[in-house]
Amino acid sequence: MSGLQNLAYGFAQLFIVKTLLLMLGGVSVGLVIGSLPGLSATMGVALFLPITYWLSASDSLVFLGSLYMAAIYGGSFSAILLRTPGTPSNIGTTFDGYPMAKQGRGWEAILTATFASLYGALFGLIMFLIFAPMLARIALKFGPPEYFWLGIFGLTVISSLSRGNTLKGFIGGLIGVLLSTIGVAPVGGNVRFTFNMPQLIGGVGLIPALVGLFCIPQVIEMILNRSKQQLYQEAKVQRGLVRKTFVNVMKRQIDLLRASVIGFIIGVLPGAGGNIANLVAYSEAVRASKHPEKFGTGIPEGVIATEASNNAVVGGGFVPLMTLGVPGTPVDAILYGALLMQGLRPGVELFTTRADVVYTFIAGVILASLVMVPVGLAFGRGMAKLITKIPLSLLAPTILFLTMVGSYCVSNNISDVYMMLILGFLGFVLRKLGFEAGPITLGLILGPIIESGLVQGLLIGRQLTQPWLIFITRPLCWVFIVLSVFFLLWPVFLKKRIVVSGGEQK
Amino acid sequence: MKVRVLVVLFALLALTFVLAEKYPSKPITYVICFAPGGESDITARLQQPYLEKILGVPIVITYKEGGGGAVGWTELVTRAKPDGYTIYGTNLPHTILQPLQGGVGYKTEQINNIYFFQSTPCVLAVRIDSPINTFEDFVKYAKEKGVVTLGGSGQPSANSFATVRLAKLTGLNIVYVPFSGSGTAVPALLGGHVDGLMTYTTMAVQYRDKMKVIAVASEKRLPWFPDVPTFRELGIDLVEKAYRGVAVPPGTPEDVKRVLEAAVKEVNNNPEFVAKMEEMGFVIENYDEAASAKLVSELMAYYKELWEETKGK
Amino acid sequence: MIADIVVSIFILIFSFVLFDQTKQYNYLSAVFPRFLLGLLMILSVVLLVRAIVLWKKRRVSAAGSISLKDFFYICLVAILSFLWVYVMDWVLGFLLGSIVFGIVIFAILAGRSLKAKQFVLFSLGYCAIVFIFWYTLGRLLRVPFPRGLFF
Repeated sequence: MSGLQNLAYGFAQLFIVKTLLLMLGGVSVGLVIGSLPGLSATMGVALFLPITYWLSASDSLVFLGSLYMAAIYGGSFSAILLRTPGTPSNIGTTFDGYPMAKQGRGWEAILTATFASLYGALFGLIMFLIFAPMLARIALKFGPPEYFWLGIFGLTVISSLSRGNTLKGFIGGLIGVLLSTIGVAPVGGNVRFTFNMPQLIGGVGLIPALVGLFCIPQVIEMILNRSKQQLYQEAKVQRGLVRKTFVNVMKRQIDLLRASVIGFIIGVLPGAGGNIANLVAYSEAVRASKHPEKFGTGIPEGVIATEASNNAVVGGGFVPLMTLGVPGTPVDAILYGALLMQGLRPGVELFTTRADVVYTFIAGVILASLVMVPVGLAFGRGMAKLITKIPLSLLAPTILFLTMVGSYCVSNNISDVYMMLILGFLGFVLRKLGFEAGPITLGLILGPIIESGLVQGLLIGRQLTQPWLIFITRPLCWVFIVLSVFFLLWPVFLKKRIVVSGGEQK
Repeated sequence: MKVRVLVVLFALLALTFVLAEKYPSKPITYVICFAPGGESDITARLQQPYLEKILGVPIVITYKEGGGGAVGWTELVTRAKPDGYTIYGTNLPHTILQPLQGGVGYKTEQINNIYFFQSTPCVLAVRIDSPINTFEDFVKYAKEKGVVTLGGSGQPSANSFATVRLAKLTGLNIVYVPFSGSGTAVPALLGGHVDGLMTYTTMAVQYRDKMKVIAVASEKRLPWFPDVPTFRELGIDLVEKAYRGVAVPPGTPEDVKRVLEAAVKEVNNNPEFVAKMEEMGFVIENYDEAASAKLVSELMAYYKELWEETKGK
Repeated sequence: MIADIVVSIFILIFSFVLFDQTKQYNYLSAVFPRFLLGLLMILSVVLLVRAIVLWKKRRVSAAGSISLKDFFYICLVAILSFLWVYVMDWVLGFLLGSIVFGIVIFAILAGRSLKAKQFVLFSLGYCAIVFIFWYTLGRLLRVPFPRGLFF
């Protein structure tokens, strides 16, 4: 029971005023950064990391952990209100969240996202406390061939994700993967497809691409409606909506649990994070639903799936980070640096030698998830109101400004800003041609995972008679092969598939 | 009137000269060409307080990541002001290998290194529970199995060339499996997906309870692994390290460079700093500007030869 | 579906160009892009065939057409935003560049739909946002924003 004792100690630790204030600060900063279009969780944690070097180990981790959790949640606000995912983990939230806002149910969508986020966050952290060391061993079973198939499996999600045209969805996905191959090859080391421009050597960053592909088309949408005050009208808020939504969300235990489990598992795997988890969870929700055709028209299930899963990823991501010292997501990589800076060596022994730090950290993030609800709701309400106050003609340059800040601050590189703008305007043209931003981003996320898995697998496979045999001789690979085939053929299983186009009908 | 204006202008000019003489008089920006929280950041953060004390001005650490450091180094030679108020962290062999590879916007010679202050030698490591205990065991294992796989960070990199050279000198069939960083290669070893790692001392020190080192690629034995022989002791001429240093933009005045050089050197002599660095697995090195230039030119010849040999692979 | 035909032909040509590029790379760097480009070519051929079949059936879709005036505005903002980044990087710096271009775009988009007083008020609000960002990120968190010529 020492774990529980330690946890109790951790909670007790939190009631030191300074730690509490840091947690509250982390939550507020995270909410602001997450909810502003263009500014991502990775950027937030990276920007604030240096100022935590002067704090104690547990204070620093509590602050960064709260910031991370709140940013992932806050990202849902801009996804719902502006159709621009605040972080890569909120891509799926735009699918149903924005249509809800368009119908005047933006507040309801925010409430749904809030409760789902809370559920996912607590689920992920509690699972971390119970299963961390055991799961870490399973995650190690994942070698390059497994990652290759995991990536392929991720791509097949497109078949249930792309609304309307599956073929174009896959072409879009492949274009995304192709974009990810620009720059230095992860294995082999050649500089590829840069056409001798040194600016391209850093490749296409995920955040600049995401910001461009999602925010710029939305800016253009505002240009088209430039004389209007707002894109949609928010309906009058009914009384008791908060309680009603809470009950509605909690009634969907199976949906919540499914999304949280998916998020947690994907979080545990090093290299895969919330950006993949939210889309997989969304497509799983579509698949399990009795009325898959309604997804994309603005139903709460879509928001629940993505928001519960992306917050569950946080706890999942801590598993390899804390037990193996292997950061799985970009944010975890920064947290790993924070631990090292504090002279802590992540690993199972951290739980025994510095249990105080580990448990204060987890207790802090649990408390932050709870605090995040009232702070977030107040913030989300304010943001929803503010957005309707600003005329579209000003909202457009403001978002443009934020996208520039967001894409610049990821690596302080001006060519990322150009890349963001180019992809953004190109993304608008592609959207008009029927290639949605979702699959392209998914391809960009999965590209490096698939490529490293494939080429590293081929290298490791040189021990065998035929190198490629390694991809079909490992049992874990077959799990993903079967899943991929099943997903790919999913539209065929569905007898009737009604074409839905993201609530765009006027 | 005109005369008066001229006098004022001259006075201003003289004032700027006076100010310029007393370097440093304002905050110095220390640019790290990798992500925050990485090894380059951590070493710079360890230097920061000591440098601030010696130079008497704040040191502001900023980040310019991308392309394995190439984005930052391109900026160093093309855009940074050569006034000594922006200094960059540099890495070897990165700044040699990237221009060799082509496609980057800077040349190795353009980078004016003023001090290499630490290095991380390559080490050959296997899992802690592996039956391989010595390098002889490793050779025996490799011969029995036919092919062994060694993971490492990046390609081309110090890790990859160390592996290639090891294979050449021993005649073993070693396949090098590059990972995107020294950290991401670790789970592949722990999960048994590769037979061993050609990694840096920092990793071996951080994961000392998960992997064991069987040979080190430095001139002499390392303090963390006193019982582990060097490759040279084993009759294999393999010395391979990654160095970290500080560089200034081309055209920086001599006196400014001397001040910075002396400051970094003084930090390196601080026992507190040395202890912190060694705890993390870094080897302290002292290459001043002249020695750095010599080191770079030596390594350039060495890597060029290796590069030509392995080009087709 | 002329658009689809053009797109698929474009993707095909582009894939061939990139495929040709991979010949310069070593095996490990080239294997994945080749595999990918092959797949992309197959899918775009499928798209091409399908578009031609559908075209013969004469199914016209008029969805999502943009009027010439709107198109002009989009192009104008696109050009202005690239200019924004360039001028911010080399001449005006982050703070001034963002304020100037943001307000210019605002003025162009607002046209006559806003009263002068409102316009000034909103512009001031925008300046405040830019300033807050410049101060917190650039000053407190030490982000090396583009400085331009002045400061």
